[in-house]
Amino acid sequence: MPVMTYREAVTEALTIEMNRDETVVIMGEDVAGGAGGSSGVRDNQSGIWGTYPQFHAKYGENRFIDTPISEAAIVAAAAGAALTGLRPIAEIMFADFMGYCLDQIQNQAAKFRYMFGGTAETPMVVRTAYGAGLSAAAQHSQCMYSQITHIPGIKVAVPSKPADAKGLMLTAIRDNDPVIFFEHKALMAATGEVPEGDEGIPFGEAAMYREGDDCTVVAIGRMVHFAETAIDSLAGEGITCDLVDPRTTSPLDEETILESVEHTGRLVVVDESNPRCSVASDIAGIVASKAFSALKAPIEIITSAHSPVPFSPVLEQAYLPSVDEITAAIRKTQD
Amino acid sequence: MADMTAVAMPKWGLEMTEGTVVKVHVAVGDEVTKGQTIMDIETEKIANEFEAEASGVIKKIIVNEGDTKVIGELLAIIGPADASDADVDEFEGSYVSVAVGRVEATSTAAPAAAPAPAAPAASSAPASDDGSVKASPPAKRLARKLGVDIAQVTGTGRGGRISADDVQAFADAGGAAPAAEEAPAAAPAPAAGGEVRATPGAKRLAKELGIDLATVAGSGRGGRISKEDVEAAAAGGGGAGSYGSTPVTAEAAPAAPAQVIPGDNAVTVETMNNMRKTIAKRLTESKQNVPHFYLTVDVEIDNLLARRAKYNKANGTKASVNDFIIRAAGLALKAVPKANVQFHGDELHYFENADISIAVAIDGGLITPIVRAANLKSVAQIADEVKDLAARARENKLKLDEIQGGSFSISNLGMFGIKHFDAVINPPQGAILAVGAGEERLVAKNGAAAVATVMTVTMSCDHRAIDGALGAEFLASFKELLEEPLALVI
Repeated sequence: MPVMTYREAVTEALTIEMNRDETVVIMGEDVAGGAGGSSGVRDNQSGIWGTYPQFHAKYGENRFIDTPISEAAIVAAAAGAALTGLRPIAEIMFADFMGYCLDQIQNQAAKFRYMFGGTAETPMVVRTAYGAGLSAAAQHSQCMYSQITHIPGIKVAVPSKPADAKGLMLTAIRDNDPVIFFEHKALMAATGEVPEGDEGIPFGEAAMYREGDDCTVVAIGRMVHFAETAIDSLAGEGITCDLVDPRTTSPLDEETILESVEHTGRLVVVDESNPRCSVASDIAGIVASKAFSALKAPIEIITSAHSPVPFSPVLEQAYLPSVDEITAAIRKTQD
Repeated sequence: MADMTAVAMPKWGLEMTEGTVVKVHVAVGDEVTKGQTIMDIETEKIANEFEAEASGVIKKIIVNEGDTKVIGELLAIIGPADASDADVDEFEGSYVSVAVGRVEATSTAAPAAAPAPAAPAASSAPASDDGSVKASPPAKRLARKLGVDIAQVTGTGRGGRISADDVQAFADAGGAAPAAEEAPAAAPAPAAGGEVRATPGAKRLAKELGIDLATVAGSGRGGRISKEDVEAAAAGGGGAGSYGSTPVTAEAAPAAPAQVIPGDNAVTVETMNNMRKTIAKRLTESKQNVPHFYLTVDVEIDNLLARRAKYNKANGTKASVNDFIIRAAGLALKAVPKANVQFHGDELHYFENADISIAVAIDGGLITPIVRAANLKSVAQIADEVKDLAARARENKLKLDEIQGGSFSISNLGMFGIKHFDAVINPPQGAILAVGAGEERLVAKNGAAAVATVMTVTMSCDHRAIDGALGAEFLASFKELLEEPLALVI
């Protein structure tokens, strides 16, 4: 199976769908770029994460569109385009900018199908980069998927691995509902095996990256990697864990989480979000109410601190969950 | 020492993790000012000039042109001219990089392609499958454990997805391979050594009642036993014992070796419809609030039967005995008007004519349409009306004014062979007449035995509206009319 980076996996999915379906269009700030530079050559940027190499040359200006710096306009245009027959992929450069386009997402795209009595569909994807760890500081490092998961009518994908990034992106583009697709900026260079072909990964189906008997660890996005390290380090102590990666926070694969907890009796949830009203607290609440009698120990919830993301690298590391915190939490559930 | 400045690989841009020193513009001993370009550094994305962040003398250069260093790594040291070599070495030795994103090195930079190859006994990476069967990972794990071919399992989840519960159910139904390694932990069947899954409340109750949890069927997720399940098991067991006398398979061939008597008695729960609920409510109110008393007379109806036959022949009608009874009651209420009464708290309402409610049995219940002014109508008219009302009653097509009101009711169970019964008054009516079957009986006439067709009627009276004497007076009139029925047909 080919090995590639997360960024390349996203590109592959975009390429497959752009080739397959001419109603798929891409729009965002600096996706093509380069028009203002000294070379004057479009497609100099390929997007700030480098996920659109050669797209301008391949697909042309009508399908690959540089937008003004207005998230509201970008998402509104995408929502309107989706309503009228296109399948737009809009890029919001940093998830932190959701505030500018939240009305378009929450009150418009999310509500069209419902309010128009099923006569309207909004097959739109909003790609966005999230997460801390690169000293991008308080306004460029937040997660935001917890707030978006809360909204009925929106689907939310948070892939942790390149294979999931490709598979979920394919499904997102083909889905007839608005999907907000969260990609961790510190995972862009992460490598992994990615299946060939064009099979999408269905939403609402979690992956289990480790199997064990003593504890269930549910982790989101980049935290899946931290959790893997933590779990593997406990091999010597004879503690084995299930590692559940929901992959999509909405719809959420409750069944896999609950069944895993029924098997192990213990739960640690690891989420890079801030603690209040996070996906972590949501999952913990679901497990506590639906699998209470399966639990043999209190649920451990690990999130970032309730603080803006620090710029100082030392403080940023302290802000984020750490592998050690996860290991300690797993051990605590065994007491 | 405080004057020493570290020249470290800078971080330009969010994603930069390392840089290559393309050119070094200074040498050890050179004096530099803050802002002066000291190196050219190239990253994946850009090439840029690197400026000194402090003024001083280049005390040491640790990097060579062409070297690639991770962000934060020490490249050179700037310090005061008089700093000694020892000072410089000490500074270098104590330098700690505050590199950002170093955690990537352990978590993501290493190819994530190989899940836990170095930890054989640890949390295993799930066995890979071709992904053609739509099942949750815990379901796949359970299937492997129980020796179940997951492709055989029917999924009850979204889009036919198979859950661990589905796999367990399949295994419990006998779908597991005989070579399953261990007893399924969640099996509700008598568990050999495995723990029975039950809520703490269930365990406590089972212990109190002396019930073996292994014999209880669990209705919860994965077969978990709840308190309700234990209670049901306890009730079912006791119930079967007390019913005992009606084995379900009574008609089975006696030669059948084992007669299976169910441990519990299957119950079909039917929610009461509005009609039943209304009947229940009104009759309960009536029995609770109305002071009933009962007067019984036997009526000889041979004459009535003969009269009926002649009447029907003469008029081409098909009047029933009950139609004559209705007419008789109507006339009797006219003759004894104080019995034609409704009770209304402080008031008694006496009516000009006799509106009589006739009890009609319909599907699932009972309804009482009214024959208005029975005293004014002929038997033939009454017969037609009753026929029409009964038919419409069965079709639920009665109008409101056809069932509301009336001062007197007649309920006839004669066609079912009932000899005698006491009916329940329909408030606010003053009385109701329960009519039994006419049957040949031995009677005494003038000291000698004789046979007559006798019908027993019982009048239930509301003692607040009708006293014993009044009721008796009514019944006497009624009986006379029926036994000398010419008056009924005039």
